[in-house]
Amino acid sequence: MRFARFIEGPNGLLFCTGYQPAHGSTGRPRVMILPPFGEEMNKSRHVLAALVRQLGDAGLVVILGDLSGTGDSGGEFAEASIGRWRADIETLLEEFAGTGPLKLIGLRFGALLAADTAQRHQVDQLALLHPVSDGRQQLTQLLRLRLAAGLMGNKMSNGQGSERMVDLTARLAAGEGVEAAGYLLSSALAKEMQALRLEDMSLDNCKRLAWFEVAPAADRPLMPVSQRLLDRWGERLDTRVEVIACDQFWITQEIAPCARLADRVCQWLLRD
Amino acid sequence: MLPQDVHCLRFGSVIIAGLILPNFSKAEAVLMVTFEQVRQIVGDVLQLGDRTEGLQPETALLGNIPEFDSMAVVGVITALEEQLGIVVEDDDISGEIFETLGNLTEFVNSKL
Repeated sequence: MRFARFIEGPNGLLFCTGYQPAHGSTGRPRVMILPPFGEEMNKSRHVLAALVRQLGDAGLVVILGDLSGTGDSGGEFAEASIGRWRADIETLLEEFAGTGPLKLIGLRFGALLAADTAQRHQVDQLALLHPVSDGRQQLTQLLRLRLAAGLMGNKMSNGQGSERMVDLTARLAAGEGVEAAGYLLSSALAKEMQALRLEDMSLDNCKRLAWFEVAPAADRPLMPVSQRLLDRWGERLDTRVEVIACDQFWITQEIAPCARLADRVCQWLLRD
Repeated sequence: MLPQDVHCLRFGSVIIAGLILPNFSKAEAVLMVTFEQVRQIVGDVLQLGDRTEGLQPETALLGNIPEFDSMAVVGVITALEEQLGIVVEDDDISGEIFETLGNLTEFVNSKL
């Protein structure tokens, strides 16, 4: 049964959607899906919805989290923090607590949060979808959006003296917030974000790992940083790696289909 | 096998560039290949489809292609970094680089 509801969260109302069997979810596997935030989430909704639907149809308990300040849950993005998001995730896991094995899927920054969640929980399967491997990349991308918007403005007005990256990082370091692409990024979140890196994480609590990368062609090599991480984790962990050929839908102008990604992730999760 | 042949195998389209513009030196031929790669990356990020082929080095980007907004600028930079293995210093990013596809190609070459 499909559900969409608000639950009482540590940071106000917490919105979540997903699937739950009408009766008897005892012992069924639980899948928690962690999305990216901001514009990347808007562009990813169709892929996340396909994951929810396919896994729900297969009889799993599915929870698509909407972390505070990022969408329909309470709170503003300016108040968001990694600490708050962790607390939201814990609340969702308690709300859907069960005896079945826990599976986590994370897309982009959500993958970083999923791996972070795996530091605190036993995870049967962890699927990382084109992860942001280092929070600094996410921060850079957000600030670049602001710089790029500045380029546009200058183009229109033929103005000079555009902002520089160093100015933005200095403002964040000084405790000021910076608005980028309509989101007010707090100094605290920027700081926490930079500290979140896959290379610092152990996946000792995970049984199986799948790493999916999206590229123009399926025979493309993995990004070097991904290869390094997988070499390390792969030594001790049952690991699957797959490159999916489709548009990088989280950043494209128009909504871009990538049905194969949802299909392959579901196949891996439902394999046994 | 001559070293040149190895080069042709790795950069298949160098041969084509050489046929079209026989007077191009090797360095310029490599630049042509990069232009095609950059064009493809821009076309992919902007989802231009068949319009990608029509982009020329002198094609204006910012303020000309409606899809080329700030999200697209960031998408193109990220895709160039991921797919060509270059590192873009953020303070290098200027309006000039995104003025034309040729400028963008030149910028990418300076980072290779």
